[in-house]
Amino acid sequence: MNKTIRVALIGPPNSGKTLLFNLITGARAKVSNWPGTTVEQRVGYRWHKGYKLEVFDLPGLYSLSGWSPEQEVSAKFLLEEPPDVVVAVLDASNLERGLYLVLQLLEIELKIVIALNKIDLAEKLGIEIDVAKLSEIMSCPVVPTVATKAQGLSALLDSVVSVYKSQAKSKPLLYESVEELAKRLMERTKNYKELKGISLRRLALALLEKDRWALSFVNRAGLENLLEELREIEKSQGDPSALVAQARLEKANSILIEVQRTREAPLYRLSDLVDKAVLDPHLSIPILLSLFWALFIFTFKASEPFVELLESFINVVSNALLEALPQNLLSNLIVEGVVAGVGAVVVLLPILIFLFIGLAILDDTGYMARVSGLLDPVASRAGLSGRSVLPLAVCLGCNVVGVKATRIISDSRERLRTILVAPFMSCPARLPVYVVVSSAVLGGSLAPVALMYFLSLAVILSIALGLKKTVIREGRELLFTELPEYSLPALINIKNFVIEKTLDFVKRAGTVLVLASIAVWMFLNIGVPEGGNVEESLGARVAKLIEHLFKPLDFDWRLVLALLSGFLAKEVVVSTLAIAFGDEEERIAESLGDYVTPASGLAFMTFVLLYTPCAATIAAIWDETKSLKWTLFSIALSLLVAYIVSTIVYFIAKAVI
Amino acid sequence: MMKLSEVKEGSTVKIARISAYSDVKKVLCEIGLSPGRSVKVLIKRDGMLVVSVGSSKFCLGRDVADFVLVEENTELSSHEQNDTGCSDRSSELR
Repeated sequence: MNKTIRVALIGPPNSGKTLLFNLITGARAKVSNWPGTTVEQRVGYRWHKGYKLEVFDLPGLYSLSGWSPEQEVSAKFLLEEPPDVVVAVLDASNLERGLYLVLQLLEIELKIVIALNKIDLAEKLGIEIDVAKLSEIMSCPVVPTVATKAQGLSALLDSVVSVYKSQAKSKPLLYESVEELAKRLMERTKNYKELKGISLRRLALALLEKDRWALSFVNRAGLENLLEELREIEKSQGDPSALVAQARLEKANSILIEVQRTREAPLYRLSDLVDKAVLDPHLSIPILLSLFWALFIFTFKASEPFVELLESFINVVSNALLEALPQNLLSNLIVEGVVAGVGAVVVLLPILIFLFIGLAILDDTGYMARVSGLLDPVASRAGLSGRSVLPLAVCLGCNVVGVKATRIISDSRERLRTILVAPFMSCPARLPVYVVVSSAVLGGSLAPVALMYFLSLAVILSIALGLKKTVIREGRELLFTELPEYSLPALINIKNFVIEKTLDFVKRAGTVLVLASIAVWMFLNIGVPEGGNVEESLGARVAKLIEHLFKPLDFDWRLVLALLSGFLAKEVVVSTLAIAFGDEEERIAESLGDYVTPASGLAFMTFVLLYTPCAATIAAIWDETKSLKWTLFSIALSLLVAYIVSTIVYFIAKAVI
Repeated sequence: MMKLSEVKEGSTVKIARISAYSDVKKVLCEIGLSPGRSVKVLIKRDGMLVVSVGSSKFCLGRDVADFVLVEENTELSSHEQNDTGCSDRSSELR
């Protein structure tokens, strides 16, 4: 007996769907991509009453039909591999928003359970919902839930199992105004065996809407007949696409009037009060800056003890290995290549984890949605949008994870622009370079380090604008973000966000960075005879070959060598400097001061900030754009920008200092 | 008739028409910005708008707000609006 029930969770954004999914499946969710797309797929499991529930978390959507990849993926999944039970998660305090989606689900004739979430909030706002009536109209069970307090969860799962066991599917509701047109299309579908198991009425309605999934399905199946009929309808009636949407809206509205009563609404909502301050013309930017400053401080202060602990642990390991292993090239590779490489990646983990915790809190409380609105006017002038803010903030932790996070931008050109500027965001791997160089040649003040972060923002805004004016014209993410009610962050959401992003880093960046460290080790050791100097290595020879390119910046071959190895991973820049200047890492600052002028030190920091961050970021850009052209473009762009900006910085610094 | 982006902060208006190509128009309708609905402009700055529609709040970019054509709200009892006309031709067909 097959005891697995395939369950899909679907609902509009901010309905609490993700929290419900996290509560149902715990930490056992598997994250991957929907086949052939970059849309994230989350699948988790839960045992309930002897059944294994396989739960799919579909993207947050207002509607199934549309042009976004998320909508296409969801529509395709629901129609072509229909799950056994669909749980529609609706926000009871904003029922109107979800009814449209439920009507579309009913058209597919699936087994549906409605989770009426945030029922406590609805009560607080004076909204009463006739649950029995709603259930009767929709011909499916309706279970009130409060995900934030884990209420109604087992009742919901009970309903899922009982709906699964029952034979009855929910019945579609008819829309008088378009039923006739749908029927005309349905009549043309007879005798097609390709359509077996597909809901014909849903297909017909979706075709009338010119839904991307429906058109591609009909094209794939070669159903010329249907397209012909559609063209005919268009000829005689005009474009029918808005008619269907309107019919649904009218239906949703009439259902709303039947099931929802609004008592006296409260005089004010807490969220509105908070928004008055958070979105205030004078207060908003100071609030935003102080929150991000706090995030920054939190990230580095909270992670500091862990970083130190890990550093000393790695020291102990490499010292122990040095003693235990015989002195030869292989042991050298293991200690200085592998252990140092792994170590450099491991010490970044605490910083990443705390940054992601901070970002998850800002996102889960509802503040991030406001930030994208607040920064949209500035960002849109530069060819980005409010939606680029979160990915760029993630880049502060790791460019690789940030490049992947650009998936929330639906406009492809705008996403490409964001991907191309993302590497200019300074990640923690670059920070040690600023600190070491600044303390060696710039008197150790924090100002040059802070300057790097400002420079990074300035470069991002101007390059994005430049891209929009030249190679990637047009494309504009239309910003309509729902501002959810503020809420306390849910622990499980934060935990899952952090685990997911950190795993991304470990899987995607970690492996490449370790390989890169080994490559750098070889680069610095090949050609060096026993007891010889790094000056004879392959790397040094290449560095000397291109040294004259950096003459304007006053970089000698040793700085160039550090930049060369840093091309693969920024973690190795400081250690390469130490090797090149023939000194211990701890004393590198002193010896650097003897060779490097303040102006070229600042130029070096700038170059490190701006040129290709690491091999893993390049791999991520390739992965996300699937284009060799744009990947190469990104490398060329960052090298060029780094060269030009650091030259400018050099000459300004020379004049000033 | 004027654009939603031109409405003063604090005023409530009624959506008359969405003047965008059909994809955008449909999306706006689906989130509740459909003709006949009343919209309150809560905050307005640098072309960004925060509006409330029904019981939700949206942040709209300038270009989105340019698509939405509105008129002064004449009746005050706006919340039981039934006309959700997303299509300009809806009445002819019925």
